[in-house]
Amino acid sequence: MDELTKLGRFSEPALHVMISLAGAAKHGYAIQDDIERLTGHRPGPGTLYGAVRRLEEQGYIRALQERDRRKPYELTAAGNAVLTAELQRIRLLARTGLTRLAAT
Amino acid sequence: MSRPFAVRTVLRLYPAAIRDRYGDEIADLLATSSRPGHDLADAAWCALTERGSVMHGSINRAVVLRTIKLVCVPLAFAPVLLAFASVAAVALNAFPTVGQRVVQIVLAAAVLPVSLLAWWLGRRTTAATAAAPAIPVALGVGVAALASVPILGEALGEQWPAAPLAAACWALILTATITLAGRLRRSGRSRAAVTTSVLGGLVALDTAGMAQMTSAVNAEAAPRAAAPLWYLEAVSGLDLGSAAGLPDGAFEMLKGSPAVLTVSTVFALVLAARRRTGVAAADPVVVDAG
Repeated sequence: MDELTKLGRFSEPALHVMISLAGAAKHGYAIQDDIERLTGHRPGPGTLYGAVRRLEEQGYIRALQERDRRKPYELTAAGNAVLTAELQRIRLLARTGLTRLAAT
Repeated sequence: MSRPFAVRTVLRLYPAAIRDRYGDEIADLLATSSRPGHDLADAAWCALTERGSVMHGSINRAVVLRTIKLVCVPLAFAPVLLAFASVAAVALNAFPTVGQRVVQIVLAAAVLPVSLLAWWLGRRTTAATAAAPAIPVALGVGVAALASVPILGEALGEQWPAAPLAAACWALILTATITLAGRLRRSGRSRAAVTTSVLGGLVALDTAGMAQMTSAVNAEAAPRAAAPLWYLEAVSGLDLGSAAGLPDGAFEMLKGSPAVLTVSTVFALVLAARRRTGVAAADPVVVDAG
């Protein structure tokens, strides 16, 4: 998690936000709902926007035009690349762990 | 406490830049939250985290950098003093008949041009350093560090830890002086502030001389009754008979400490006075590059 670890305690929420935005652009409330569905845990507004701010600063996501007084966010190309690399790393890690567990 | 009031209160905890950018969105989520207590606590905690990281990133790091530069100031003054004294020594070679006492006085006189340089530097340095009372502490740390360097540090006195002890005493008294002068200046008593600064600076220097001498030399070689004269004798090179038991008096025993502390005193007082009056903010920066 080289790139996302720079985000400190917001690295895990940041990963969830990026995964949530991987399908389509979403506003804050929709991101909260999506992360709750994905992880079973609904992030608080402070945690969510702490991650959003850092991701925006890094250029991994960007805000779109306001719709219905809500501002949607979408992944940028850089964010797409970082998320892809991160998920591949997690997949490799998970596969290795599962293989070792199966061998015991 | 109503929810809108609680939301406004939590948003106020955020740094202004973040509140301006994301405040409406956070407020919207808090207003429609199904678990307001949890979400308000989450936002409050994150707001304080953001505030902490902003302070850590912008203020603390800058103050630390500037304080480190202050600590290094005595390290710069010492070689300048040495350079002036060396020029004087070379010039004295043209007069082989002058006595040892005259040589000491001429060498000691190097403190005058370097003090002027310190005054000029204090006037030109940005005042956005650390808090004014922290200036002598930072300078004192620099002097103590310099005095603790093996071999090189002996230029400030051969008996360790006499010179660092002197620097600590000097920093303590000068901090109190600057604090008091700042209070006087804020209450509009500028002349009293200047008088306090000058007298406090002299007391700090004299006390430093006494601290260094008493911790390095026994009472037989340097009678304690003459203690208030030690600094004056060392910084001027004059023979005041204050350390009659030592071949070259206080000048030889205290070495470069009085000169370095004198120059540091001038720098600290000028810088602190400018920080209190806030004049330096509009002036160019010379020492500070942070």
